[in-house]
Amino acid sequence: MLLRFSVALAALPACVVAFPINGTRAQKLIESTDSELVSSALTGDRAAQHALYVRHVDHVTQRVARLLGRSAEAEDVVQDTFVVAFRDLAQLSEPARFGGWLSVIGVHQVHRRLRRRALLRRIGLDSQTDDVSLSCIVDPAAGPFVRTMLKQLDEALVRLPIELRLAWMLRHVEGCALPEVAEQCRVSLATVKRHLVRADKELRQYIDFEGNAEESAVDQIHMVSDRGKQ
Amino acid sequence: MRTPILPNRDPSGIEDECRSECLSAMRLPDPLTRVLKQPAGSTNYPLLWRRVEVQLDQSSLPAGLGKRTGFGWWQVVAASALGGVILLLLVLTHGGPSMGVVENVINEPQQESAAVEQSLAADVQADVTWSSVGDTGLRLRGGAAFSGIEARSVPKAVTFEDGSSLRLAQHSVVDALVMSARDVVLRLSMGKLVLNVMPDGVRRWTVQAGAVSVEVVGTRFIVERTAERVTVTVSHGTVLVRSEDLPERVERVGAGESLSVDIVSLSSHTDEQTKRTTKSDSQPPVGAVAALLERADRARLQGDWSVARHSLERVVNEFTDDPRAPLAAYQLATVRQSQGAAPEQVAAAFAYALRQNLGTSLRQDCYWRLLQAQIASGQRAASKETARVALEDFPDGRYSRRMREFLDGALAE
Repeated sequence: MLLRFSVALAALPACVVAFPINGTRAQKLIESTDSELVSSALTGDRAAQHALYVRHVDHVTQRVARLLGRSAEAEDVVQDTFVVAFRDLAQLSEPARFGGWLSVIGVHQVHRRLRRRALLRRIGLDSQTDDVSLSCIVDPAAGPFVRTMLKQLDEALVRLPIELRLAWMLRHVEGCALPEVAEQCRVSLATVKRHLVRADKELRQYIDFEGNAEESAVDQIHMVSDRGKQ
Repeated sequence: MRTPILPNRDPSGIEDECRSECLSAMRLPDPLTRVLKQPAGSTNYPLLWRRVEVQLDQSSLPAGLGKRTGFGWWQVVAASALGGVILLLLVLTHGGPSMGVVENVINEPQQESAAVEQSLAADVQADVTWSSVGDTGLRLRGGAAFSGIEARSVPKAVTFEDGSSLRLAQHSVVDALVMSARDVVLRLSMGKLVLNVMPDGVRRWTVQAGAVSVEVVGTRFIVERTAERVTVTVSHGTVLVRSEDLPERVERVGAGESLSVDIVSLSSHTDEQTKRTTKSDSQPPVGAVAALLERADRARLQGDWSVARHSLERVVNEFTDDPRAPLAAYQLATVRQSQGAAPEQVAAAFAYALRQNLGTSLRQDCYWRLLQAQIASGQRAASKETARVALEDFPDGRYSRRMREFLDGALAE
């Protein structure tokens, strides 16, 4: 009985269990700007921290998941991101830009996780699957050709050095402006431009390596649907 | 029809700068958000927040002060040196970490069945494997690290420092893929395990059984894996079972419920037709190869390389005489490449595929990929030979120009 009760308690939303917030306070938190919430959070106000978390967790999780390609690791990275953000909150010079700053921390955590993954892969211990790769999150209405292209792109992106991969994905998947990409990658604008050009060049070489994009897509379609003719 | 390239969200006005020629060549929009759907939000946000809170509390500093109540560098060095001395003394006096594991297992409290007690007295040392990478945030009771256990003729059991326990039935194998402060991921390669996870913990426990994964927070459940099926039975609490063979790819299983997932979808065939065959046996079961290849295709499209590799290896090894086996061999080599295998292994896989009866188009691709893998692995002589043979086979092929350039450059050195 105690075990079952404990399990049920664990399933309740954290904000209900952790502190009883009355409606007025909750409403005030919802209506507060990031600046106001950051100021409160700096004094140790856990409710303000939670409000910031609720406001930004979905966006951070989506971005981290797309950059990592794996939902299983995304939550870990998101957790680390918020812990670092709240721990180092005093270093945020512009409280109104909490969201952007959080994203910078998230990308840095993704970078660390990708480095670790590369090491595990080199020694054959990377057994997880990419369930949020581009080809896995393609819009069903996009069609099989787009899906096949994205599959090739996934394979090519994995081969890029991590810095190039992140810069390219922030620019061409997330749609970030160049200054934002530079900020999130923690490099200069000139460097990020070099990264993007080099990444694009290497991706093109890989696609050319396949023969060309269209031919390989046709081959793949034949492999799936026309086995008897082989 | 050419896909229109949409303007990106760049507010700085430098829209054309650093546009992707790769996406243009692939006729994809830039950025790609137009053809991507939003991944579903996680249902774990409340639990995630609790973990964040726990970590913030454990860091023991008022949030936002940004200053750790840490130690000076000399204190860190002194602590490290002291820790090293203690470890050395432990090794010298107790013979290493393996003894700690044996002691931990032997000192388990009395179990329900005599068979389990018998297993505790058995020579467990040879069955326990050690991981060489990854942090071991969660340890066994007693402090020893855990990275796997195999139960042979008798069941085995271990208890973790947080009170969670794992029991293996006989003829079962479990590896620990991740044992961190936040996650425990166990892989059940075969057999049956009973897992009792303490509730209100901060760790997320996951059991991987082939293409099926079971996620849990605070519960007791059983996972059983056979060659054809994975069965999850929950005693207390709730688990999430994920598998591409489930209708919605995820299913919630509550207390008192059980869920079975077939590993290979051969449900349209009779038992006689799905029996495994060897090369010397009669004709392969009708539809078995097609089902395996279809499964491999699905897995490849999802990026699930392990499942794809397993399915293709079965075709290559068990149905060698099937006309689709060469195609499977080629696809297996590409899967190995996608998995990030060492270039030597990739080269060997493509070399094997080349020896099969591949069609013209695939054969050309195979030569080119083999050449690339041989270059990447430093096999210069072999790569030159490959280019030479490929040009003899396909003097006007898709890659002939590049192969000639490679040979010219290689011979000039």
